[in-house]
Amino acid sequence: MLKNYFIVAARTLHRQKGYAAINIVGLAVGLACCVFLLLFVRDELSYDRFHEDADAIFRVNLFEDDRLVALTPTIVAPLLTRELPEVVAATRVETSSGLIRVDEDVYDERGFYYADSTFFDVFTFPLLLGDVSDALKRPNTVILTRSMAEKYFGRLDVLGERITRNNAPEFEITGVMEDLPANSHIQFNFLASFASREYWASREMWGSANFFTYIRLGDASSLETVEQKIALLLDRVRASGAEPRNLTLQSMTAIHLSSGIEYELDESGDMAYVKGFFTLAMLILLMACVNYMNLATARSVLRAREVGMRKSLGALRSQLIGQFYGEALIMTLAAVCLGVALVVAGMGWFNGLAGKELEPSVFLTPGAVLVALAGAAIVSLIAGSYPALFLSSIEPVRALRGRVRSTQGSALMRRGLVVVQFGVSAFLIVGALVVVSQLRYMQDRSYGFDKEHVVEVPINDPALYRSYPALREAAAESPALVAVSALNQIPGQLGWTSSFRREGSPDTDEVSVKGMPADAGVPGALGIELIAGRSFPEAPPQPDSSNYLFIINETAARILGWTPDEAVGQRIAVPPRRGEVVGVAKDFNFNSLHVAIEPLAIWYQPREIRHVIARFQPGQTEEAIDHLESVWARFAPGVPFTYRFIDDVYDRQYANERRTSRVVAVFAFLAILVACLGLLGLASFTAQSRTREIGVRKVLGASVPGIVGLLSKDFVVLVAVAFAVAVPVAWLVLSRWLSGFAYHIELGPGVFAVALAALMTVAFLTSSTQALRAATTDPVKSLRYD
Amino acid sequence: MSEDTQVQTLGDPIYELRGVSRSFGSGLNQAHVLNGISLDIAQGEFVSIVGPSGSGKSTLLNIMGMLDAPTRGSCYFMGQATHELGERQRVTIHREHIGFVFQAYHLIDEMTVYENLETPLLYRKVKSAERKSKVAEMLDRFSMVAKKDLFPEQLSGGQKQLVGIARALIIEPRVILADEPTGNLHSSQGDKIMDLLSGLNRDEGVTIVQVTHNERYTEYGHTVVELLDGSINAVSQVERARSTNPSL
Repeated sequence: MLKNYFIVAARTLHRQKGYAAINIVGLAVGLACCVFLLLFVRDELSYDRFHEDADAIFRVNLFEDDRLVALTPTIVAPLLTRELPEVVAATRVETSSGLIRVDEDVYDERGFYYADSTFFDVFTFPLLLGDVSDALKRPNTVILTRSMAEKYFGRLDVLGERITRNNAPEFEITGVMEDLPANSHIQFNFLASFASREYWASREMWGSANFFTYIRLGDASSLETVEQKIALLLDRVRASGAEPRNLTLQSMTAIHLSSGIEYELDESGDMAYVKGFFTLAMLILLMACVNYMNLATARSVLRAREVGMRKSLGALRSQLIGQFYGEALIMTLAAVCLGVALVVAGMGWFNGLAGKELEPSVFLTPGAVLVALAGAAIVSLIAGSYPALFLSSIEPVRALRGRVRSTQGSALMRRGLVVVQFGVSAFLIVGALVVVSQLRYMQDRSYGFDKEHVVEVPINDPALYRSYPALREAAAESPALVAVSALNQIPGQLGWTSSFRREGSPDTDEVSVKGMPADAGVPGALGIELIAGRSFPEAPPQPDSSNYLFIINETAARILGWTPDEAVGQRIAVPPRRGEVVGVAKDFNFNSLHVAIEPLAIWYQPREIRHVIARFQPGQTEEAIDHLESVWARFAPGVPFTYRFIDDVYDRQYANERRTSRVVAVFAFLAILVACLGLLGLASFTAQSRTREIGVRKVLGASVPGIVGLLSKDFVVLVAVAFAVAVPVAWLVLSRWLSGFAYHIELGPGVFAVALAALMTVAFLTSSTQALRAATTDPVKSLRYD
Repeated sequence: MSEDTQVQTLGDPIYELRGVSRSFGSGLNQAHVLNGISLDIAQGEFVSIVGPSGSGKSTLLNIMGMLDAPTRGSCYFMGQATHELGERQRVTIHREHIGFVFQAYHLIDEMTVYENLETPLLYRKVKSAERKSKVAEMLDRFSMVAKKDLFPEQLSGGQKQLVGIARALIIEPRVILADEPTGNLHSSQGDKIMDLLSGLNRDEGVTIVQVTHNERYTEYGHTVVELLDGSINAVSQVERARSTNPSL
């Protein structure tokens, strides 16, 4: 019997090839989309969970006024370990980068971290070689990741070898570890002993919050007690005269998806996107299932005769139900197999799209296979229910006449399902349009300085630092370069936060300000427009505490209560610096468009420079870079020349948005594809079931366009309804998303109009192909059988 | 028009219909398709039901086949009231006693001739070996061995109807209910089918109830029941002399 069912199912599918293909492909694409998105979500949620007892690991964050900062001073880790028995282990982590010398070769490396020897008590990072208990004990010892060891030495057994960072000191390699998993928010290539940072390691101070502090609790549930104890501890510290900032604990596993904490270690994810992608996954799966059901129910009417015949041959209703469920299962399994194949084949593509390193091997676990089978069973149960239950219930007499008309209810359901599908599609189209236009807006918007033509070269070598004045002169020689200067932190990554006030007003008037210590030529090198006063003089004297020269931005002047013109010549304090405002710069976006322009103070302090910046002539990028490289080769031979365009620095701030826009756009497209497949199937069914009507109409003189219009009208109305439902939802969601940007586009009717037009066109084209086919059929054929 | 029509008896009655009525719809739209039909059919009989379009012929046949149920009155099949049967019992009767033949053949398009013949046996849970031999026997008997792997759409109308009859016969039914079995066929094909049915009736004692439009084919049976507007208009016996079956 079973074999008989299978044969019939297979032959039914074969006979209705087009329909089967639409149904299977639609479901497979839907499943694949869903799997991709869920893998993404799973990966985002899996961050830092690979550590043993990861729930017991916390990072200590620091309150700076109303802002939360991930960095803490040196004292926090040792203090907490000493004073709180609940803290089993604590480690400080300091991030750095540098020039690594191995024998004669020099490499410019990032991800050079320092950590206490307790690092491995807090985290679970197994060593391939070396001993976790003492690899980081002595000063000037370092652990390399596998790829670094292979890069420098071409082998793994490099214990005892030496590398040099920035000329000195020399580090002895005491361990080799596997490269860090992609889902770790801590990412380093080198892990050196904190003891190597002699100055910091030997002092426990409350100032200079430059270190990440991670602690492991004996029991994750003691978190609340520990936080209370920390508050009490800080009170005691204050009583003894120190001025600690408040501390708070953040669960390690929450770090990746949290936002709003400054000096975050990695490019963090966003819970909103994770939720959004999860919703998208569910919506696409829903659409695919809806499609499936829709087509199955529509088609099932054509099987009524078979049902009648089988009943008259002695089939029980339960046997028929089984048969239809079985067919649904076969189809679903085919779709699941195809879907998995799509996922495996498309994994690389998706990884590129979403910026992930996901492995298709997750499908090869027995658990995943089980989930897939269970999923297939559920989908076929849902999708097969209508045909199974409805068809098997038809009275055989009616079934045999082949006059089973789908009931009013089922037609309504089908329409409802189409509305759901196109509603989701409409939402996705609008979403994709808005995200893409916001991105374009961020790229095209004027930032108030010459963002597109500034290149940055880090000063990462003491020799370079010493020879900077000569280097600047040499660099400025090229006609390709407009201006060369240097500063402490580059725009796009400006993090130096200080506070400022008018000189002479009390401390309580102090307001937060972003600080930019710089060389004198910085306004010219960035292309900042000054609206009052002048730039720094060409060679001002080295500042001491009271004769700093400041250029502030408009916002800063306004906050201090001056017009730009009034501000010039006034004295301000950015403690411990005091001095005179020489100029006021027109506001420019020195950080990403996520944040509104804050007050900014640029002051002349060449000791603090870390980056050379050079503005080049438009169209002479290559010459400018070549020239800078030759200058570098002259002043710091052997030091690798690395540079970044400021434009790219900003762009990196939008990586999350860019990723989202890519994903949303692609999946919007796929969702629409799935919806169209469904519409195609449904339209062809409608056309088929109305063949006779069309024949009669043609005999009565209806024209082909008239019939196409007649058949397409229904779908166009459905799409319009779907759109009407989607608009308010899209409006709400997207307004919220846009409010995450201080500078954003306005949601206008434009995107909605474009989306509606697109959707209508697609829906009309899809349904009219079928309508056209029906309309051009010879009426004699369609009327032949009664 | 008699209230209770006793058809010529050849054996125990296989069908006893008592005041069978069937209406469709309700209220003002109610259409009475059958009005108090009472009729006995004996085992081994060959009954032709005739009448104009819409007189209720097919409905009557469907009620006898338990594909439809009377709104009023009762129908007894082999002494059992059909309205008292549960789905399982009814299905059992379909599996074991009743073979259907339809004007539109109603073969399952997705199955070959062989598989179409096999299906009733599958529902009867006949063992594989027995199934094979029965299907083979049927194919042989209807000279369709060469066509066993063809699909219905590859057959002519007459061949399809042969398969339809073979499928009805394969369960060795007590009764074959044939709804215009020749309706879609050329006359030569129709003659062949009718010869086959009457042969089955004569040689194997299979009770046959057919609905037909074709007056010529009423002569193959013993009894003609004429319906008009849902009631029995006349019942007549076919004269034996006219019942000629030259080929058999």
